[in-house]
Amino acid sequence: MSVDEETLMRYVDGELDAEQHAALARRLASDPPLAARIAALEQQRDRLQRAYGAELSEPVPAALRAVLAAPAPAAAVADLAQRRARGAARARRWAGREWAAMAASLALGVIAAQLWSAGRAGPELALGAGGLVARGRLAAALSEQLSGEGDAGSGVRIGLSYRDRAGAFCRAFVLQGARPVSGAACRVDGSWRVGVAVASPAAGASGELRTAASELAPAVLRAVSDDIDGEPLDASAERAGRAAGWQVPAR
Amino acid sequence: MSDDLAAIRTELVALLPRLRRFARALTRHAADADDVLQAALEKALARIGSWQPGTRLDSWMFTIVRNTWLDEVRARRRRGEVDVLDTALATVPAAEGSVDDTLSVQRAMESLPEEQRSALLLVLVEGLPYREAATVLDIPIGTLTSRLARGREALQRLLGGRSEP
Repeated sequence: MSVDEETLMRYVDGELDAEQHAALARRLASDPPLAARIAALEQQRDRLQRAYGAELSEPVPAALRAVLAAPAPAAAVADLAQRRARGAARARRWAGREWAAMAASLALGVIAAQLWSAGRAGPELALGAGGLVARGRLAAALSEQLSGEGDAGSGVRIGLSYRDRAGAFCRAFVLQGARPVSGAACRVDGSWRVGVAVASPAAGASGELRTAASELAPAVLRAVSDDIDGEPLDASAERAGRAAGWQVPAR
Repeated sequence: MSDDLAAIRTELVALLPRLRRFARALTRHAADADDVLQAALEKALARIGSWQPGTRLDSWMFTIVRNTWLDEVRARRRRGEVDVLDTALATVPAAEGSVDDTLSVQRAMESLPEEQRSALLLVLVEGLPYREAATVLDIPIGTLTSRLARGREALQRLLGGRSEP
């Protein structure tokens, strides 16, 4: 008699009643294939627990503790958008950013490895101390090209420009090629830090010309939508940014 | 009553690391996670009276965290923003010489639909009994069971049997 997967799962999760559990446990001794299926489920669970285990020992931001320390229940501010608009979360957001940067640099290691293995990292992307940094024609295009221009022979299209929540100038780009790479880079300390980069599947078979924005991978669009502060820059703001060398104007 | 409230606050402080971990895995974005958690804590304090002593405080909080996030996702959809709920993230292959199993596993989880991811997180990571997890997700226990089974299969496909500590 075979045992269905759901029963095995319930066994591993401790959801069978005592009698069923004991009966199955007895069978395992004389049924190695069954024992192997159980072992695989347990292994998967343990692996998942290990993968999420370390996060428990991370320090909790003071702002979160502060909510619980507040003398009276805080006024109900249910809508995050409302709260963002208040701008009260400035300091907290910075704490979040530090973590986000850390998580991003971890993810970037993998992305960089992936790009390299796809033969796409090439001279345009380098892994520096602060993460992935644009080089060569990508860096030049990020500094010089305007978003409406098309690739102008550089092999790079600029999708849009914007300021991130930290105030830096950022630009979403597509690096053309057999396997285009789309991403977003922000101007930090005089270089273009690539916060997200995704190698696309092979270029569309249709061969039709699409706009640069539509070629940005969903993950890139998502990252941009998470990080953008306000609206994308319009043409004149973009020109002004370029004229200023993408340095953040003093406040 | 104020003593009770103080006790609950203390318990909530103790729960923060788990709630934060859940929020991160749910939203797949650290800054969103902290915003969601903060809003959820504010909501919880504002309606602390609706928590029934004798029931699990962690389940109650997981429910509020998840509902806060789903509300936020709906609000973003209404504003026409990029849909973040089930958008596939950068697909980083799990194997292919990846050095960090933690990252592989978390990426694989992030690629699952929210309903499977939440079920796996609550049962396998947080260790909730099926009944508790089903209550948090507001679904019948049979639905939970099938989400768990599908989520496990998907993880197995994505990660294979490899399991380095």
